[in-house]
Amino acid sequence: MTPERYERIGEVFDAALEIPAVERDEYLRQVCADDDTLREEVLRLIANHEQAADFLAPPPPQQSRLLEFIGPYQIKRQLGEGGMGTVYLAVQSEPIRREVALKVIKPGMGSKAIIGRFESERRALALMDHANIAQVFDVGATEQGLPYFAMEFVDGLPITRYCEERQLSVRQRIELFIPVCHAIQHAHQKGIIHRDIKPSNVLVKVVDGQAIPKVIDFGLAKALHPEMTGETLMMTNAGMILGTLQYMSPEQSAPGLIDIDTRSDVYSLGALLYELLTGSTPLDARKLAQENYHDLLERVRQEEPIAPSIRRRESALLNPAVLDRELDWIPLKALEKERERRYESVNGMTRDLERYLAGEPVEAAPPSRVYRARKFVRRHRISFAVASAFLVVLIAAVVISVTMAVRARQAEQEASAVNTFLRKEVLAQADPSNQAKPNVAPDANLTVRTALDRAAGGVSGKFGGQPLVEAAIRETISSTYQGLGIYPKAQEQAQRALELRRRVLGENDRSTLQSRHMLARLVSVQGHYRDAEPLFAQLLADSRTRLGPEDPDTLETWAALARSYQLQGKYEPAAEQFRLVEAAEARVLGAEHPYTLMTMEGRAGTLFMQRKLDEAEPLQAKVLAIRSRVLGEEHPDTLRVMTSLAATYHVQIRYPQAEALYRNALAIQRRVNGVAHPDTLVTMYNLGTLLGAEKRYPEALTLFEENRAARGAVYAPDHPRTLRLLVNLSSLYGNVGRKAEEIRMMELALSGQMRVLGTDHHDTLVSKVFLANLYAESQPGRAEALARDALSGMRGRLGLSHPDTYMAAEALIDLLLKRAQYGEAERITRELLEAPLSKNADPAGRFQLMGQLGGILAKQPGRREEAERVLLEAYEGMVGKRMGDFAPARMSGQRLAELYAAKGDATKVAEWQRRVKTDFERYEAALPK
Amino acid sequence: MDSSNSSEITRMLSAWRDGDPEALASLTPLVYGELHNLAKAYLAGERPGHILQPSALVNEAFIRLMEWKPDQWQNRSHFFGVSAALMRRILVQSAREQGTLKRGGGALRVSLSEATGLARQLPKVADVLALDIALDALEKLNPRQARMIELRFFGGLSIEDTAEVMGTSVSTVHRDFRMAQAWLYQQLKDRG
Repeated sequence: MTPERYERIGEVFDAALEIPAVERDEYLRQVCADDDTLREEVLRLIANHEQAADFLAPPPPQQSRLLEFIGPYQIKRQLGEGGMGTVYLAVQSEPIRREVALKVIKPGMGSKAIIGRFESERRALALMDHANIAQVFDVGATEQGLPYFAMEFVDGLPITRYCEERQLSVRQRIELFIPVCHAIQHAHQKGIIHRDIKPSNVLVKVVDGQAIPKVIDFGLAKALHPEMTGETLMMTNAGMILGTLQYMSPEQSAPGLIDIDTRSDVYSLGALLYELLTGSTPLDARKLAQENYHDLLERVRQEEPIAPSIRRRESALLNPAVLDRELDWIPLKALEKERERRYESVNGMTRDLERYLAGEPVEAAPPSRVYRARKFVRRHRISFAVASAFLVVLIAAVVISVTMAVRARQAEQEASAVNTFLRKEVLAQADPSNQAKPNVAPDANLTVRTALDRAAGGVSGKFGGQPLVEAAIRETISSTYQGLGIYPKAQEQAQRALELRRRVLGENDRSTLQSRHMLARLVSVQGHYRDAEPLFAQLLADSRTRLGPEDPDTLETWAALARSYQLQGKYEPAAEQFRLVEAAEARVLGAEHPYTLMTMEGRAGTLFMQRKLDEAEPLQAKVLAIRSRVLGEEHPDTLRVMTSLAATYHVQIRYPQAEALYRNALAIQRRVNGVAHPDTLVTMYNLGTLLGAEKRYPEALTLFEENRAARGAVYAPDHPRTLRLLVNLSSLYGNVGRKAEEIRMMELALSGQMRVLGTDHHDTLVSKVFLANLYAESQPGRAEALARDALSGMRGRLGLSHPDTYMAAEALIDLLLKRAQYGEAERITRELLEAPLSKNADPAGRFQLMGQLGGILAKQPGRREEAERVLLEAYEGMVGKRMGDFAPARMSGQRLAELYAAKGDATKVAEWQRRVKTDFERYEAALPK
Repeated sequence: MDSSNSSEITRMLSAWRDGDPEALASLTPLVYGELHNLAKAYLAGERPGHILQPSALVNEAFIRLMEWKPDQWQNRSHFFGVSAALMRRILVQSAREQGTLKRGGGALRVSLSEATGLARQLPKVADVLALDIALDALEKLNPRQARMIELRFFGGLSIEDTAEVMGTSVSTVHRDFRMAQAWLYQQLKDRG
């Protein structure tokens, strides 16, 4: 049979199957009039088709029918029964065999809605990976329609009981509690709030004699009680309230709007710690049991807990060892009624506990509770709260990472209108039972994107009378889109918010100007630095006249303008503008204000890019010192400047210092920010580059590839930073001999940079040089064009003595020498060498270039004397300096040896061969190990 | 399971999708090893009472390689796409080994009536070999259909997933599958 024949049979077969069986014979007779074999073949296939419709088809997902099964889980025994339902120990056999804890929710709680809500949080839950968190594997419904959760089975006791049974000391209890804090902090970083931390949800199991606490039931509280407050809980399930209420934060027990954030978990952890230290909950459980629930809720909101050290003395349960007063303040700070006064994050609490254990003073000490410059956070808080009430469930991980562009300005009233709308329009969609509309099928796999698109579509016309509310909603939607990386939509919404404000408030209003700032920043965040600059420039001019030249908003815009210069590689104006903003901010806001420090960091970054490292280094060190003191060692801003300082060491070839600092920052960032965070990615990138420079290629490649994989969650594929990563990935591939990938990666990088950054951006120019080197053998013509292009760009942009200008020149010279174009090569080299040295010049690079000149001269038989002189100076110059690479020195040494060989001076040849060898050994020995 | 494996596989798969042909080559041994162990266990009858279903094997391999966190996996259907071909190779190879081992040579054939009686429960040892040969023949007539059968039968992909992996429409998959099914059935019947 031929393929043509097979195809023909297939056509007839298909057509025949499309018509009713009774008409098939007639049809086949017509079509196969002169081809009986065809007819028979098709008839046979039709018969086969009817006989074996399932042949080779994969089976549908299996379902078990046995009674002792719930879903695919075989029930072993009951583990417990609680307010919510029953927990079983069950065995999963497909696709793998393992024990699970199966929590079956009791009737009357809306199975579909629960499963829907859980599914919507599933992605975020799946991001959690922590030794102290029990995973939730699956959610489903029993045949009776009861929802169930299958989760990691933890064979252990509630943490409070474990501590009692083992009679653990205070120190041991704290040591057991700290990993619990780490687990919750990890979840917060992934955007998950537990909402129901209590002893029965923190189990301790013993593995190899070691106690391991595990937090269970992540995601369940949210799924079961999306609006869990004291009131709703009481109404749905009076029986469970007592066990929960003692650990529930006042904001959770308040009636009305749900407004829960990570600090609610801080409160619950505080209650748990309190109980571990004293043996009783902050609000005495025995008293609670006797009260009606309104009084009870009131007490949660009002009653200040007794200091643990005093409570412990009253307690008969624990040995009467005196509890340190110092320790009192930690749970008390966590248990503050106003969450602004609690620890800002679980990390803060953990650090205090660690300080306590180390015998250091705790931060929470009372009379002078350190009040810090938190303006920055306050300004962002309102819209942040909106976002958390709105989409924390769906996308919190993303939203939380987007703190930068979110600017708060909605008045309380606006904020609550926004809340209501979003809750009705967006959150409600997560519940499949609410999705049903005429002509619209419920969407079980509703994505955040869809929910958001629908919400965006639902805004128009709804707020005719309240344009400012509409603007606030659009900005919230915008920042959520931004969090999802859907920039065009984010921009569209921000644009419309701006138009509304403009119309209602006029051009002069602060809100209108802030809207413009948000929009400009959005343009910049996408990497469209060139487009952002005029937006910021105009906004700055307008802010100065309308708000005043030293208004904090004006200063912020000014700094943003400076940054947009820097991002475009316009370092001179960037440095100058940063300097001016910094001075103004120090005057207006104070020298240690977060904004001032941010601007200093920006200026240091510009100096770094200009390779004015002597100026950048002290500035970075200063910012690092202030932030370590004011914000703490683990604050993301502290870590970011730590990476920058390490980068300065890196460029100064102080590799051991740089590596130590990078590794320190990276370890904390991985924990605090997670991998898919811009700052973590930068540190990872830098460290990879450093390892590459030290020729530790496999280590470097691993980091880069991890980086490339992780950054998809943060950046678009042609984001400038991603493109820079590709450049480095390319050279790593080159170093491990994967040539094809090396070239392809570099082409990808350059084409992206041309498109996104323009043809003469610094990054673009560097890539042109690299690609010119890669093309040197295969496509010398293209290589030369690229190198020329790069050199002229570098000269104009960076000056004649910048190391990158040298690099471009060397690439071009190499190509010219291949074609024996000595004259032009020499002209270029001399011009660069004779230019006055600027402050940022790289002395070793200059001698390297001199070596090139020597090479050019040596090729011309009449100029060997001259060549010898130049090469000697170049070689001595190079070995006298710190060098990143010995190759250029070796090259000059070899050229000298060749010159002597041509003269027939065997003694000198041998001398130089020895010299190069010893110098290389010395260079190798000096390399950091 | 080595924890670096799943991120390694994720990375390779996305590199492969980005057009890096070498990534697939590097991916193969990782997935292959896992599939092979599973297939061997099944064929050796280590799990009595189970009817061999290649798709279940692939699914299990997938979950293992993803360290039990398949939710984090974005390219699920592509994984199965890659695995399907591997699964076929492994099953054929194992069937050959097994046949050789147990029968001292020539593969044992099961009549097709038995095979179709178990329509969904394929395959017995000999059927794998017969199907492999028939698929090779189909490959020469219509490579797309052969690949489709591979994805569906050995990879356990649904019609929709098959369409996604092959970049065709659902209705094409539907039509192609119907034809290939009927034709292969004939081939096996003729041989049996």
